[in-house]
Amino acid sequence: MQGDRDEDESGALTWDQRIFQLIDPGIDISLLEENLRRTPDERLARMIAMAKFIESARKPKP
Amino acid sequence: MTDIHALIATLRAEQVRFVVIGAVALSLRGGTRVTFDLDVCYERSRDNAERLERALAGLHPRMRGAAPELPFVWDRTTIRSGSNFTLTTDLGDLDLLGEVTGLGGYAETAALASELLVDGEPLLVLTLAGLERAKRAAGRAKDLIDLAEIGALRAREGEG
Repeated sequence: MQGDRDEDESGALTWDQRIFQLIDPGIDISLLEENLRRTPDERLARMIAMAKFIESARKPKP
Repeated sequence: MTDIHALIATLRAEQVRFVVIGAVALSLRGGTRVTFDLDVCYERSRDNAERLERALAGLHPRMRGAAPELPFVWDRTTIRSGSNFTLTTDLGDLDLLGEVTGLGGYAETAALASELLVDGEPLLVLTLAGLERAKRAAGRAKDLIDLAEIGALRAREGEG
Protein backbone atom coordinates (compact mmCIF):
# COMPACT_ATOMS: atom_id res chain seq x y z
CA MET A 1 0.00 0.00 0.00
CA GLN A 2 1.50 3.30 -1.04
CA GLY A 3 -0.28 5.18 1.73
CA ASP A 4 1.43 2.99 4.33
CA ARG A 5 4.77 4.42 3.24
CA ASP A 6 3.98 7.83 4.66
CA GLU A 7 4.12 7.44 8.40
CA ASP A 8 5.20 11.00 9.08
CA GLU A 9 2.14 12.01 11.04
CA SER A 10 2.25 9.05 13.42
CA GLY A 11 5.71 10.14 14.50
CA ALA A 12 7.34 6.92 13.33
CA LEU A 13 10.24 6.97 10.90
CA THR A 14 9.18 6.94 7.27
CA TRP A 15 10.43 4.24 4.90
CA ASP A 16 13.10 6.52 3.44
CA GLN A 17 14.27 7.66 6.86
CA ARG A 18 14.69 4.01 7.89
CA ILE A 19 16.85 3.41 4.81
CA PHE A 20 18.93 6.51 5.53
CA GLN A 21 19.66 5.12 8.98
CA LEU A 22 21.37 2.22 7.23
CA ILE A 23 23.03 3.93 4.29
CA ASP A 24 24.35 7.40 3.59
CA PRO A 25 22.47 8.90 0.62
CA GLY A 26 25.65 10.79 -0.34
CA ILE A 27 23.99 14.14 -0.91
CA ASP A 28 26.42 16.92 -1.81
CA ILE A 29 25.22 19.68 0.48
CA SER A 30 27.52 22.25 -1.15
CA LEU A 31 25.65 21.82 -4.47
CA LEU A 32 22.32 22.38 -2.74
CA GLU A 33 23.65 25.44 -0.96
CA GLU A 34 24.95 26.84 -4.25
CA ASN A 35 21.54 26.26 -5.79
CA LEU A 36 19.76 27.97 -2.92
CA ARG A 37 21.77 31.11 -3.60
CA ARG A 38 20.43 31.17 -7.16
CA THR A 39 17.06 32.44 -8.36
CA PRO A 40 14.49 29.89 -9.60
CA ASP A 41 15.24 31.01 -13.18
CA GLU A 42 18.94 30.39 -12.66
CA ARG A 43 18.27 26.96 -11.12
CA LEU A 44 16.09 25.95 -14.05
CA ALA A 45 18.65 27.25 -16.56
CA ARG A 46 21.38 25.14 -14.96
CA MET A 47 19.22 22.03 -14.93
CA ILE A 48 18.31 22.50 -18.60
CA ALA A 49 21.96 23.08 -19.54
CA MET A 50 22.89 19.84 -17.78
CA ALA A 51 20.06 17.94 -19.49
CA LYS A 52 21.24 19.25 -22.88
CA PHE A 53 24.79 18.19 -22.12
CA ILE A 54 23.68 14.67 -21.12
CA GLU A 55 21.50 14.38 -24.20
CA SER A 56 24.30 15.49 -26.52
CA ALA A 57 26.72 13.07 -24.84
CA ARG A 58 24.26 10.21 -25.36
CA LYS A 59 23.98 10.84 -29.10
CA PRO A 60 26.01 8.35 -31.11
CA LYS A 61 29.19 9.89 -32.46
CA PRO A 62 29.72 9.73 -36.23
CA MET B 1 15.05 17.78 -25.78
CA THR B 2 11.98 19.08 -23.99
CA ASP B 3 11.59 22.85 -24.16
CA ILE B 4 10.39 23.42 -20.61
CA HIS B 5 10.15 27.20 -20.97
CA ALA B 6 8.08 26.92 -24.15
CA LEU B 7 5.73 24.32 -22.64
CA ILE B 8 5.13 26.52 -19.61
CA ALA B 9 4.56 29.53 -21.89
CA THR B 10 2.07 27.52 -23.95
CA LEU B 11 0.06 26.56 -20.87
CA ARG B 12 0.20 30.11 -19.56
CA ALA B 13 -0.94 31.57 -22.89
CA GLU B 14 -4.25 29.72 -22.58
CA GLN B 15 -4.46 30.39 -18.83
CA VAL B 16 -4.48 26.67 -18.01
CA ARG B 17 -4.70 26.12 -14.26
CA PHE B 18 -1.76 23.89 -13.34
CA VAL B 19 0.91 23.26 -10.74
CA VAL B 20 4.47 22.32 -11.70
CA ILE B 21 5.39 19.11 -9.88
CA GLY B 22 8.08 16.45 -10.20
CA ALA B 23 11.74 17.01 -10.93
CA VAL B 24 11.26 20.46 -12.50
CA ALA B 25 9.57 21.58 -9.27
CA LEU B 26 12.42 20.07 -7.29
CA SER B 27 14.94 21.87 -9.48
CA LEU B 28 13.12 25.19 -9.05
CA ARG B 29 13.21 24.58 -5.28
CA GLY B 30 16.97 23.98 -5.32
CA GLY B 31 17.36 20.28 -6.08
CA THR B 32 20.09 18.97 -8.37
CA ARG B 33 18.33 16.16 -10.25
CA VAL B 34 18.20 16.51 -14.01
CA THR B 35 15.02 15.68 -15.87
CA PHE B 36 13.99 15.47 -19.49
CA ASP B 37 10.29 16.16 -19.17
CA LEU B 38 7.81 18.49 -17.50
CA ASP B 39 5.24 17.15 -15.05
CA VAL B 40 2.21 19.21 -14.13
CA CYS B 41 -0.96 18.62 -12.15
CA TYR B 42 -3.91 20.23 -13.94
CA GLU B 43 -7.35 21.15 -12.74
CA ARG B 44 -9.99 18.82 -14.14
CA SER B 45 -12.85 21.27 -14.58
CA ARG B 46 -14.65 21.48 -17.92
CA ASP B 47 -13.30 24.94 -18.75
CA ASN B 48 -9.74 24.01 -17.82
CA ALA B 49 -9.98 20.92 -20.05
CA GLU B 50 -10.95 23.26 -22.89
CA ARG B 51 -7.98 25.52 -22.13
CA LEU B 52 -5.69 22.51 -22.07
CA GLU B 53 -7.10 21.26 -25.34
CA ARG B 54 -6.45 24.64 -26.98
CA ALA B 55 -3.02 25.00 -25.43
CA LEU B 56 -1.66 21.72 -26.78
CA ALA B 57 -3.71 21.33 -29.95
CA GLY B 58 -1.02 22.84 -32.17
CA LEU B 59 1.74 20.74 -30.60
CA HIS B 60 0.46 17.39 -31.91
CA PRO B 61 0.25 15.65 -28.53
CA ARG B 62 0.37 11.86 -28.60
CA MET B 63 0.75 9.16 -25.97
CA ARG B 64 4.42 8.57 -25.25
CA GLY B 65 5.54 5.08 -26.10
CA ALA B 66 2.28 4.13 -27.83
CA ALA B 67 2.36 2.54 -31.25
CA PRO B 68 1.97 5.32 -33.86
CA GLU B 69 -0.92 3.50 -35.50
CA LEU B 70 -2.97 3.65 -32.29
CA PRO B 71 -5.60 6.35 -32.63
CA PHE B 72 -5.33 9.23 -30.19
CA VAL B 73 -7.51 12.31 -30.36
CA TRP B 74 -6.48 15.29 -28.29
CA ASP B 75 -9.65 17.04 -27.23
CA ARG B 76 -11.65 17.93 -24.14
CA THR B 77 -13.48 14.58 -24.26
CA THR B 78 -10.21 12.67 -24.11
CA ILE B 79 -8.99 14.91 -21.30
CA ARG B 80 -12.21 14.55 -19.31
CA SER B 81 -12.34 10.79 -19.94
CA GLY B 82 -8.82 10.20 -18.70
CA SER B 83 -6.83 11.63 -15.86
CA ASN B 84 -3.09 11.14 -16.17
CA PHE B 85 -1.48 11.43 -19.59
CA THR B 86 2.15 10.84 -20.49
CA LEU B 87 2.47 12.81 -23.69
CA THR B 88 5.07 13.64 -26.21
CA THR B 89 4.56 16.91 -28.10
CA ASP B 90 6.36 19.02 -30.65
CA LEU B 91 7.97 20.80 -27.67
CA GLY B 92 8.96 17.59 -25.90
CA ASP B 93 7.63 15.33 -23.20
CA LEU B 94 4.84 16.50 -20.94
CA ASP B 95 3.15 14.52 -18.19
CA LEU B 96 -0.30 15.79 -17.30
CA LEU B 97 -1.61 14.52 -13.99
CA GLY B 98 -5.17 14.94 -12.85
CA GLU B 99 -4.28 13.14 -9.64
CA VAL B 100 -0.94 13.02 -7.87
CA THR B 101 -0.14 9.99 -5.72
CA GLY B 102 -0.03 11.00 -2.09
CA LEU B 103 -1.52 14.43 -2.72
CA GLY B 104 -4.79 14.14 -4.63
CA GLY B 105 -6.22 16.34 -7.35
CA TYR B 106 -5.43 19.89 -8.37
CA ALA B 107 -7.00 21.54 -5.31
CA GLU B 108 -5.00 19.43 -2.86
CA THR B 109 -1.82 19.83 -4.92
CA ALA B 110 -2.25 23.60 -5.31
CA ALA B 111 -2.73 23.85 -1.54
CA LEU B 112 0.81 22.49 -1.21
CA ALA B 113 2.24 24.82 -3.85
CA SER B 114 3.46 28.39 -3.86
CA GLU B 115 4.38 30.85 -6.56
CA LEU B 116 7.90 31.34 -7.82
CA LEU B 117 8.93 33.93 -10.37
CA VAL B 118 9.85 32.08 -13.56
CA ASP B 119 10.42 33.86 -16.89
CA GLY B 120 9.19 37.04 -15.26
CA GLU B 121 5.82 35.67 -14.20
CA PRO B 122 4.51 33.87 -11.12
CA LEU B 123 4.39 30.11 -11.53
CA LEU B 124 2.62 27.77 -9.14
CA VAL B 125 5.23 25.21 -8.05
CA LEU B 126 4.86 22.36 -5.56
CA THR B 127 6.64 23.15 -2.29
CA LEU B 128 9.35 20.98 -0.77
CA ALA B 129 6.76 19.70 1.74
CA GLY B 130 4.46 18.75 -1.12
CA LEU B 131 7.28 17.13 -3.06
CA GLU B 132 8.28 15.16 0.01
CA ARG B 133 4.76 13.87 0.52
CA ALA B 134 4.33 12.92 -3.14
CA LYS B 135 7.68 11.18 -3.41
CA ARG B 136 7.23 9.35 -0.14
CA ALA B 137 3.87 8.06 -1.35
CA ALA B 138 5.20 7.13 -4.80
CA GLY B 139 7.98 5.13 -3.15
CA ARG B 140 10.08 4.42 -6.25
CA ALA B 141 13.83 3.91 -6.15
CA LYS B 142 14.44 7.26 -7.86
CA ASP B 143 12.34 8.98 -5.19
CA LEU B 144 14.75 7.88 -2.49
CA ILE B 145 17.56 10.20 -3.60
CA ASP B 146 15.07 12.98 -4.19
CA LEU B 147 13.81 12.50 -0.63
CA ALA B 148 17.34 12.82 0.70
CA GLU B 149 17.79 16.11 -1.18
CA ILE B 150 14.38 17.37 -0.13
CA GLY B 151 15.19 16.59 3.50
CA ALA B 152 18.45 18.52 3.25
CA LEU B 153 16.76 21.43 1.47
CA ARG B 154 13.96 21.53 4.05
CA ALA B 155 16.50 21.58 6.86
CA ARG B 156 18.11 24.64 5.23
CA GLU B 157 14.70 26.18 4.63
CA GLY B 158 14.13 25.90 8.38
CA GLU B 159 17.44 27.64 9.02
CA GLY B 160 16.53 30.55 6.76
